[in-house]
Amino acid sequence: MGFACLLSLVFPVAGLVVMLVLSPEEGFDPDTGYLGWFIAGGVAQGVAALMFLRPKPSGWRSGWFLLWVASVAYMGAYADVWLQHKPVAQKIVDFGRAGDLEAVARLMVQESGFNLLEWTFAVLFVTAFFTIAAFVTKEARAVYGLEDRDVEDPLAFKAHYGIQ
Amino acid sequence: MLVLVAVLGANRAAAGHQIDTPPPSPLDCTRKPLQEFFDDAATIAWGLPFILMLGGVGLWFTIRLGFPQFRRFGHAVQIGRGKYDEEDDPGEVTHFQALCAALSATVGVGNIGGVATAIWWGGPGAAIWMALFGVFGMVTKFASCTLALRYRVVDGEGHMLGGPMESLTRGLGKNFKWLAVLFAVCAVISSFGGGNMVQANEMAAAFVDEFGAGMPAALTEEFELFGDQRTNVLRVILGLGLAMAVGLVIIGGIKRIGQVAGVLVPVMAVLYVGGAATIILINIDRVPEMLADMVTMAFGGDVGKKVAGGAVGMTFLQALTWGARRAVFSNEAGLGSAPIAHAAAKTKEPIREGLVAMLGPFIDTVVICMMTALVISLTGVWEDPKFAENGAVLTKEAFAVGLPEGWGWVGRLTVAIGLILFAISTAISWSYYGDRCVTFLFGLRAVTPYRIVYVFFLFLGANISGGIVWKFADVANAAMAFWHIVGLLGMSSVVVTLYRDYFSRDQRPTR
Repeated sequence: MGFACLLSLVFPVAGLVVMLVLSPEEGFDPDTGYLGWFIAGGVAQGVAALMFLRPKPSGWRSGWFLLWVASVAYMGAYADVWLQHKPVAQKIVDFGRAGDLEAVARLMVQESGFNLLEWTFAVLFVTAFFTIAAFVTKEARAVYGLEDRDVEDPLAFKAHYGIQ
Repeated sequence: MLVLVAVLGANRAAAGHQIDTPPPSPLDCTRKPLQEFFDDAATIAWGLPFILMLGGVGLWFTIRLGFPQFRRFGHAVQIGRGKYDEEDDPGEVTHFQALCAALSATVGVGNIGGVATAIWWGGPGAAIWMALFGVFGMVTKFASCTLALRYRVVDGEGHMLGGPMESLTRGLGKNFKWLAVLFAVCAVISSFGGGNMVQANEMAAAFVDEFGAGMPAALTEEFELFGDQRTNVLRVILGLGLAMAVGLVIIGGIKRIGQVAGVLVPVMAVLYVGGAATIILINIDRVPEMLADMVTMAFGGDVGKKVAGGAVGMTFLQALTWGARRAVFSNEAGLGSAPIAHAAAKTKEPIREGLVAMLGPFIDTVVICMMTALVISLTGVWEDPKFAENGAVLTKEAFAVGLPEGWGWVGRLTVAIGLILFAISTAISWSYYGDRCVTFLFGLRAVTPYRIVYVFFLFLGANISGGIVWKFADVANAAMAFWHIVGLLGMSSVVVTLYRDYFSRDQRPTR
């Protein structure tokens, strides 16, 4: 679980690095839309990591809820970039149809920048989402005293069907 | 799903004045803002986060189980061939019928139009990523179907009830039943959209497009159905025919669906794959070179080919993004739909059906999508900008150009019939998915009303352009995966335990 907490802290920082490196090179101005969503997600994920350090049911519940918040925020950042990307992609189609290869080649640089930003937010979303799943496992919940007594033993079917 | 819609709404409000919007096309002028909103919501829901999530799950299970898609492939084929079938095993359909029922839902428009769109945008290299995602998707499907078999129950009428809704409830515990309920609600909504109305519409469109020109004007003349929805007599007849045919099949439950799919899927495969194989064989001397180009382009290499309507060369990310997107769209691994069909299989061993299910993404994405990709790449039609964003037309053109002169109509006909059959079979299987989810949510009393509404929607789908309803269903379709994946990863240790236990025992064929 410590590893999952560490990842929750490392990934938002890595995402910030990508955004800082990308912005000047690709001619992107940090947009308040996706930056805002990103900051909200990063903070939620970071606080969630700290919550999970408390091995109590309340630590699990707070951390788990904050991870959902982080996932939604990263999805928001992705959606914001995608909405800006969409008209550029449409222009590529339009110029391609018109046979203006020079314009298409110029736009493809911007296209690559949008792609990289989308990948960054997508990776952040997946990290947060997979951490949600990691804390759902029986083993993880046991650490926080949240075992479900009604969960069946995976191999119980063998006795039922007489499989040796 | 609601969260996504809210996020998108907030973003659109914020981004509305920041985007340098290009001059609207004539199509944009007629679009309603709400329609565009749901278009965007559906595209974002099926976007990169979704793809990476499903790809990541496949990679995770592949590593955790030690590459079962390669090591256990032979065993999976043997099970699928019925070598391990036993008459007295619990369940309703054979391994092969369950596989066909699931395949008939996944092999569809994505295999024809989706591949073409991926290649138009990402170049032929996208096909390599598509195949790779298909390979990882095999293990995702293995895991989800294994869990579906392990946690299935028998309903009040003696039919099998399994799938993510049961796995989430019984595998994770009652505290997580809300995930199961959300999954089932999304699945029911999806069954009316992508599984029903979209398929009926595709079927009718393909039929009218291919055969409408030779029909009497009385059949093809449009009239107003209601509001701004227009249809024609031919579509009304097609809608009625489809509704009756599907109704007759689904009333027989999974047994009849399995029997019909067991015939329909091999016929579809022989027809479509046979057509594609013929074109590949005609151009066999160029295949090695084309494959080498595809691999080069998959990693961003420039082989002097045009892409995205004219740009020379392409980016690695573009090929990867489009390849992955279409693979996920096509094989549905991780969505949680196929496990519902596989849960009805006759077996005592959950792992066996999981292994058979693993063959689904292989047939769908690695074989059928790859063959479509080869046909499109070999014929070079993907470099023509006029096919932008019209995948099915591009594939049809590729099948027409790929055959010797004078035989182009055979290629076009093959794709048209393929589209029609794929649409019908998908509609049949999705009814079962909705049927089981309705049973989970409301009990058996809801099944007959659901089936009646389902058949009515098929008729409706053949005659109207659903717009917002379809896009809302698309979002619901993607949302199924989000609830499913939480449970799938949360129960990964269950899959590993079952897998190790099964292969620790001696497995000998019974036939």
